[in-house]
Amino acid sequence: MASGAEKTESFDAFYTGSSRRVLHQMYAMTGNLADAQELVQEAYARAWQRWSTVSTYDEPEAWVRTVAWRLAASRWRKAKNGVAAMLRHGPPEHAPEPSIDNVALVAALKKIPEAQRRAIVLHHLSGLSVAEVAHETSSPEGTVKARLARGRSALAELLADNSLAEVS
Amino acid sequence: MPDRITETLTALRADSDTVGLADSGAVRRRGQQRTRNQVVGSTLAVMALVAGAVGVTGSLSGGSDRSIEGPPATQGPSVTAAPEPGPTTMNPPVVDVPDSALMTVEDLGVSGLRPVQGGTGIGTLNPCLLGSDDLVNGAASTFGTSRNAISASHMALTQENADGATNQLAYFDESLAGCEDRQGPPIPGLAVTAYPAAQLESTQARLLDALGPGAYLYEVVTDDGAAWVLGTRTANAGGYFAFATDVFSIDQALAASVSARERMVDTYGA
Repeated sequence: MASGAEKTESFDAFYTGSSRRVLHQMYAMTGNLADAQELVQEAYARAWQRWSTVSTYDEPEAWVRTVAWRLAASRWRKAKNGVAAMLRHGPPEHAPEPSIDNVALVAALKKIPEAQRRAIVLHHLSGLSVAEVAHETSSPEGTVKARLARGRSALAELLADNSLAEVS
Repeated sequence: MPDRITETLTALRADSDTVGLADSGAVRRRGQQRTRNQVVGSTLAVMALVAGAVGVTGSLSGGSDRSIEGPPATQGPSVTAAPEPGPTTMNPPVVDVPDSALMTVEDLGVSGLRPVQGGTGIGTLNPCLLGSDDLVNGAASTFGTSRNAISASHMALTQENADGATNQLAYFDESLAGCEDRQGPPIPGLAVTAYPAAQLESTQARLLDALGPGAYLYEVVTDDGAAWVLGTRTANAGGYFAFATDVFSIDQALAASVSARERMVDTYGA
């Protein structure tokens, strides 16, 4: 069993080595930098709470990413009752804007369905295979393939870039 | 060679690289704070049940008719760091609280009591549970001679994993002290003393062993009176048996807790 110091050291190494990558992925999934930043830090805090278990997983980073995604989905559901949320928490913080080069991309990502966006990010940005995406999203592989195809087509149309729809 | 869409998505890194992330120490502290908050949330519910037990045993506040003279053979209160949890036998963990996991009147071993519906504590529990993200579920059975005369309560609280259930037990006293911070009811005169069950003297050593690792006996004193709670852990669930000391002897309470734990083990694993 790892000592307290070893446990801390292994978590710190994990966080340092992966958090920036997960932030990038969550930014692509949510289209909001401030949300992505908060989600990532909350997900890693939860990982630390359970580090003795999470650290034994084959892919702790996948666990963190899944937790961050679930938190995001939960917030989207709660946001449907925006007035109540505003009363509880006050107005939302100002979110950093995407750079000029990425404005159109972020806007396009926000327009495609959440499930398609998640599949695209996991497959094309996180580098997961279709089978791995299916496992992480608890979806059949056929569903993942369909989401990828539809998501790519939608992005290509929104960005007027047909090359995005092509499968390499 | 990366495909076109990968190149496009990778360009977002220019934005995300401009955002600062907290250092790992800050993230760990945030996680630790979450743990403390969750424990407070869950144990507030237990306190409400304790208050129910105390409420009908006002004569206990003077201590003159206690059948329990305090836990013997301890060297004073002992609060230790949360032990490492044992392996959780259920994967994924069971988080529901079926009726079969709760104590029945037959488990009490004391005559004259009956199940009481809607006893003190349940109403207080709900808002607290809703405010605690990771406390998954909770349910309780209460017993007494009437709704306003509750002498015992058994509560099962489930967590996402064994760590949560273990911490809940280990930080019980600290958590109660923070009830008001969680918008819980004020508890004037609150003092909680924890006694690891392993340090108790009892003629029924077998019962102590059956309480399992990490069990505690807590003395909870308020301005309104005092009550005792036996806390046990089974896999990812905590079991709390609050009992009035003018109704239960320590051995009767231990035996009831053992029965309750056996029920929980059947549901959640050891």
